[in-house]
Order: sequence, then C-alpha cells, then structure tokens
Amino acid sequence: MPSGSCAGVLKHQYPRLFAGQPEEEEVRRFSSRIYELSEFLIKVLNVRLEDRGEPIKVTWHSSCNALREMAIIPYAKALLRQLERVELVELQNERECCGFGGTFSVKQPAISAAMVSDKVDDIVQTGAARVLSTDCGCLLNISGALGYRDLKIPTQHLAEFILERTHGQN
Amino acid sequence: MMTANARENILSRLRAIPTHGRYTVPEAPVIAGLALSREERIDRLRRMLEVMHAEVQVVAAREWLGELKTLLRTRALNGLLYAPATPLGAVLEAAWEEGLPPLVPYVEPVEQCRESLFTIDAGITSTRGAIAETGALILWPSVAEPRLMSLTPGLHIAVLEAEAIFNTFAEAIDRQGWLEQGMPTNVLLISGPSKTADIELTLTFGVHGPKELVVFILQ
Amino acid sequence: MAKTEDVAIFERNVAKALGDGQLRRNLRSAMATMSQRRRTLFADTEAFEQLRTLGQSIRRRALSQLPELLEQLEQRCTANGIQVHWAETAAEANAIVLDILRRHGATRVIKGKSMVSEEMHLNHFLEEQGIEALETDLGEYIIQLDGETPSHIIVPAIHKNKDQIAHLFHERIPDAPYTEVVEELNAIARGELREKFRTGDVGVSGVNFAVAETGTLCLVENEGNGRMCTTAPPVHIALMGLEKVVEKLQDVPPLLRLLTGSATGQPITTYFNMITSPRRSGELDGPHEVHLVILDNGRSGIYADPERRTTLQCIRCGACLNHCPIYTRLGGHAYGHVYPGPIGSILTPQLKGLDEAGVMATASTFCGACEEVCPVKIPFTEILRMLRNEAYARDESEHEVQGHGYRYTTVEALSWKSWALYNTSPALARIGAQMLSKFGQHLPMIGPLKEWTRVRTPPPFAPKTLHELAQQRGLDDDR
Repeated sequence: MPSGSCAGVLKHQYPRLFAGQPEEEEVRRFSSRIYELSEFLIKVLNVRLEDRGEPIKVTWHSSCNALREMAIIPYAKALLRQLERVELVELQNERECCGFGGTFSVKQPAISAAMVSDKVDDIVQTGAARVLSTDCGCLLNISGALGYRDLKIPTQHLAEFILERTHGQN
Repeated sequence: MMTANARENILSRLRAIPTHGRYTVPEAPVIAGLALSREERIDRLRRMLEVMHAEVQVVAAREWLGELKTLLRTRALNGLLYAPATPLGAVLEAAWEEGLPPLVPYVEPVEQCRESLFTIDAGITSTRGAIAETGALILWPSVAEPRLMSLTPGLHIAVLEAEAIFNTFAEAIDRQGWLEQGMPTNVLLISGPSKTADIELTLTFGVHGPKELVVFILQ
Repeated sequence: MAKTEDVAIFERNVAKALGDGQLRRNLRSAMATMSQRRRTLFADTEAFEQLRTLGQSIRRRALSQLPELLEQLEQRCTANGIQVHWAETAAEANAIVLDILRRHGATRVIKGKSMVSEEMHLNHFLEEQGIEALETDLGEYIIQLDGETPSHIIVPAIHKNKDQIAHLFHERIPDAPYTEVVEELNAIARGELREKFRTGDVGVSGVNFAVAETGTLCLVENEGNGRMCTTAPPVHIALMGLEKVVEKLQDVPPLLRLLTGSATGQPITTYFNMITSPRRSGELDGPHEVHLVILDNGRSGIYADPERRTTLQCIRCGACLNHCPIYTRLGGHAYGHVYPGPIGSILTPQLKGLDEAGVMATASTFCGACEEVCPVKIPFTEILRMLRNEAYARDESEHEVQGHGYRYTTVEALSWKSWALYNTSPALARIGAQMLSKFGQHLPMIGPLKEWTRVRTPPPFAPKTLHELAQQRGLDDDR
C-alpha cells in the first residue's frame, strides 16, 4: 500500500471492524499480509536504490498514520538515504499533524488552516526544493496550502520520487 | 440533600452493569526495580536531590553535628524548630551551645502556637528513609514530630541514616512494612524545597513551603 | 445546514483563540518545553512502554472492580476517622461542602488545586453563599485574580506570559510593585497567601489516588500549598471523582511515576502527600476532621459501557494536552468546558451529553499524538470516532451516549449513505471516479470545497483514473 493511512485501516482497523463476524479469521489473514510500500521495499524486497538524479534538497512530512499506526518512517527514510544525491532536511515539527484529518479539514476549517499554515512555514524554513510523504491526503492538504501562498515547492509521493530518481529523469 | 440515597444509587448503578467481558485487564508486566549498591544509592539520592536544589551533605555520623552548627552559624536565624521527644531532639539538646539560633520545641497543639510556627526561620526533622531512584526523603510525622515542622519554616533540615536509603518507592513500602504496621496519619515524600513553574514554566524555588532543604546523610 | 449550538459557540471560540497571536506564542513554546521534558525523562521508550502497560493494567484492574473498591475505600476511611460522603451530582457535592462549612461557621476556605472542584464550579457556588474560596496554587491564584478558569489541567495559567501576570499582580494586589521577574512575582504571591494559610478555616483539596486497601488519600504537588491546605486548617475536605480509587498501596508507585513524568517530566514532585486520617490522639497538628466527597456526576454512565469505560482510566496528567496540535493552537478556554484537550474531548461529551459538548469530539484529526503519550493507554481515537458516530446515531445508537443523534440531519445521513453505496459498488465507483477526473475541475466552490479553498488551492483531479491507467497497461483488476 503506498499509503500509511490506507495500510493502517487494512492492517489494524479491519480486524477490529470484523471482530466477532464470520469473516474474522479471513480478515485476520488478509490484514497480516498488508505492508506499507516503504516497509515492503526495505523489509521484504530488500531493495538497493541507485540514484540517477541531479543533487536535490528535499524535506519529509511524516503522516500521522505512517508515523504512529504503521510506524514505517524509519523505512521511508532508509530509502531516501539510499539515494546518494538527495539531501534530506528534516522539518522542525516533523511529528506534528499537518491538519488534514479527512473530514476535519472541512468540519474544523479554521483549525485545519492554522495547522497547515504552520506546516508550510516549517517547510519554507528548510529551504527544500520538494516535499515528500507517503500519504496523499497530507500531500493534497500541503500542496493546496503551498499553492495558495504561491510557493513553488512541489509535493510528491515517495513512490513517484523513487521512480523518478532511479530512472534518471529530471 | 439526599446523600444517603446517593451512595446507594451510585453503587447500584455501578453494580447493575452486566459483565460484557470486553473490559479486560491486561497482564501486568513485571518490571525489575533498580538494584544499586549502598554507595550507589547514596550517590544517586544525593544527585537527584541536588538537581531539585536541595543541599546534601554526606557526613560521618559523629561529624554531622559539627557540620550542622557550621551551617547554622553562617545564618541569622530566629530559631530552629525541633521535636524534643525524639532521639534527634535529645541529641540536639545535648549538643546545643552559644552562638547558635535558639532551639524552639514543638510541644503545644498548633492552635496554641500557630503564630510562631508561621514565623520561625528553620525546622529540623528526622526521616524514616529515602528513595534513591527518584530522589525523595520519606517523612513519617508522629505525635513527637508533627507535620508542620517540615512545611512552615523557610529552611527545612532533614537528617537521614544512610542505611535507610531504598532503591525504589515500592521497595520502601515493602521493606518497611507500611501495610503490616498500618499507615500513620500522614506520610510524605519530599524531594526538594518547594517549587513552582506556573509562570511561563520558569522553575523557581520557595513558593509556599520551605525555600531551602538541607539534607544530612549520616554514614 | 443549521449549526447546532455547541458548534456555533465552538467556532466563535476558535476564531478568537486563533486570532490571539500572543496566546499562540505562549502556548506553543510552553507545550514544546513540556513535551521535551517528558521525552527526556522517558527516553528509554521500551521501559516506558512496559511502565505504561503496568499503569494501564493497574487502572483497568481498579475499574473492573469499582463498586467493591469504593465500598472498601469507604470502610477503611471511616475506620481511620475520615468522614465519607457520596454525591450523584455537582450540586449535591456543593451542598455537602457547604453543609460542612456551615457547621464550622467557616467563612474562609483555602483551596489546593482540584479539577473536580472546577467541575463543581465550587468557588462560584461558595461566593454566592458569602464564603471566600481562595485558590492557593500559584497558577490557580493567578487566574482567580483575573476572574478566569484554568486553561490547562496541570499548569492552569499557561496561557498567560509574565508580562501579563506582572500587570495583573500590580493592578489587583494592593501594594504589589510592578515586576516582570518571575522570582519576585512568586514572592508576592507567597507573601499574600502565607497569611491565608495561617488563618484559613477549612482546606479543600482534590485527590490524585485513593487507596482502597488502606483508606489513604494521595496528593501530588510541588508548591506546598496542598500540604498547607490539608494540614494547617482544622478541617480538610477532599474531593474526588469516583474513578480515582486504586486497589493497593503498591499500585501507587508506578502510577506516581507515570503521573509526574507524563505531566511535567519530573521523576517525582517535590511533595507526595499521603493522608490516612484526621489528627489522632496526642498529635499536635493536622485537621481534626477530614471529609472525603466521592462524586459521580455522570461517571457511572460512562462506566456502564465497557468501551467508554477506558475514559475513566485517566490519571489527569495532561500529557495529551501538551502533545495535541489542536490544544497547542487553541489553549484550554476555546473548548468552552472545564476539561480541555483530548481528555476533555472524550470526557466532556460523555459527562454533559453530546448535545452540549459533542463538538469537542470533532476537534481532532485523529493524529494519535495523545494516544502515543497516554500513560494508561486510553484509546482516544476509538472513543472519539465512537462519539462522532453517536452524534449522528438517531435510532441505532450502540453506546447510548447521552444526547446521541443530536446532529442527525437528513442531508448528512444521505451523503454518508451515498458514500457507502459508492464505495461498495465497483461499477458506481468507477463511473464516479471518471466523472471526477473529467469534471472535477469545474466543481462549484460550495460546502466542503468552499471551506477547503479558504486557504488552499482546489484539489487537482488526475486526467485519468487509476482504473483507466491500469487498463492501459493491460492489468485486469477484477480478479
């Protein structure tokens, strides 16, 4: 799963959701096979990435589900470290939520706005040319807020970034 | 007021709940406590108390009175509150001399001496033990050694036998048999002079309790 | 869609809090410091995990035999000479306190920090009866001077900086000089309160843990004001929520460590005060009477549901507040209720009913920061999710939270039904996705999209759906 939050639902929420149901066992087997992408690349495929891109400075946003529910941030960062010409500058409050939270972003728009605005400030401060993450919800939120402030710092999913670097585009 | 009913109502509401079996109690992990040597315990206690701004002196049992006198002579104190009916009290009385702040006994009920309790500069108490892990003295106030002695004076001096330093709080409760002998009116753990961080989290010492804590650890 | 009243009030509070730059700066730095101190103390994450499993186990063991332990506590306390009172509601608890005060002709009450007393609005109640109730914890003293309520359950005046406190003291305390030096501000408060400690008629305190085995009331504090309130006056009244009981004396050390470490990153507080009886024969000080008021005020309702019961595991350390990205931005007052932050968001809607405080459950992104630090492993996100469901559960409420279904509207119910249908029907989902990728850019900026685009550009839609891309590559997704 190229997403901490989707993987979290399938891996951790499904067994709870189906507890006491006839499908419980089947769901448990299914959930035990779920990996988040970066964990899968490192732990199962044991990949070695070859960096073919130009030097670039990036920053990393840890989505809450990737960080806490799935605890896969070490794998994602291990992948980035394999890319020789990629410099990772960490966000000041990396462990803090970007304020997306699904319906939260429209049910509590003011708080959500304050949170994403602080996140954007932190991103700007890193001087990074790109923001990477494993979760599209966060990326949607952050890129929307960056765009709104006319900041030309693209956001990108880790999978896409790896593909780009290892295929020598850019 | 229906307080008699309140008890029955509350308890019957709590009891009426069917056991769903969904509220389970996870097995308690067994956590190995600290296991320090005697010297390490003294050292750790001293360090932890000092971090909390207590002044700690580790001294030989026959030298501590000299150290106490030296400390008291350097300060202009209006008196030293003490508990005459304790072994410590007897030692102090026998050793007291000119040039030291007067020994003031705590022998009357607080109702009769409230004023002086709240104005005396210093108080000295024994301790029942200490906890190395977190750094804390155990005080066990009694008929002979009342509770306010370690609270109202600006300077609290505590005397501790090095033998009575335990690794952990749990060990102290266990080894001293708190349960078996029954809890006294009041037990206190004290880890330093009174402090607060309520203004901008700025740690400052000496709020409502003692401003200074001096601990003599007797070897 | 008409807004429910709790939502409207909360939105106003949020706008006010977010607009207060000073507040946000005060909070941000304070919460960062508290989180950092906690992290330093519990640096060994494996050891912490073990310790909090123990903490969870102790609290769950206590709650799983709550009625028995409360009876045992009452029996032991009574045997020790502590007078035990039971109150179903805050009003009853206030009446009990007043009755005790009246019997002693008390006019001056000195108070140690107690969140239960805040829940009872005790100060306000006593004032109406002509009784002075003075807060003596420095933070509580500060906010009482300013006519405010606590904004944090551990550091109640954390929303104020020293300049604000300097002005407050100078204006409200007779003869207090203007000073921004924290030590001097402390000294002013010490001087003011010392006289009150000496002359107070009755001391009121909370309870951190009540030990059933021995009938012992435990109080955690740093300042010494708690000891003053429970030792100097002739009468001491302790207030506790009925969940505060623990089974054994040996349950106390791990909980104490978890409490002080989680709250402020201290291995232990300056004072840990264990009270087992009033003054005994021959003793020279301590109160002649100790009263314990055990308050329900909605807790037994929470207890009734095994999933909601986890809420009562809380030991009020405040770590969930310190780590909450939303609390950090709003502060406690915006929540509009006594208990703010994540614990407030799960506790208050259950204590007061969803119709009064249900909005608090929406003040979370489910980021899980609270759960990660909770020393007794309260499953915050699960409870929040359940409360949100209950807010819409008109008829089919599973957990029977008071006020359930208060936000039910046909429009929202229909939208979620459609969403469910959309996601369980592959054909519908495929068509929907295609529509969005074709026409998504032209969606009208109303409803959720209007809120979204206040600070963000509209979401871009991919020109082709994942299904289409997969099909192009010859993948068949129907197996």
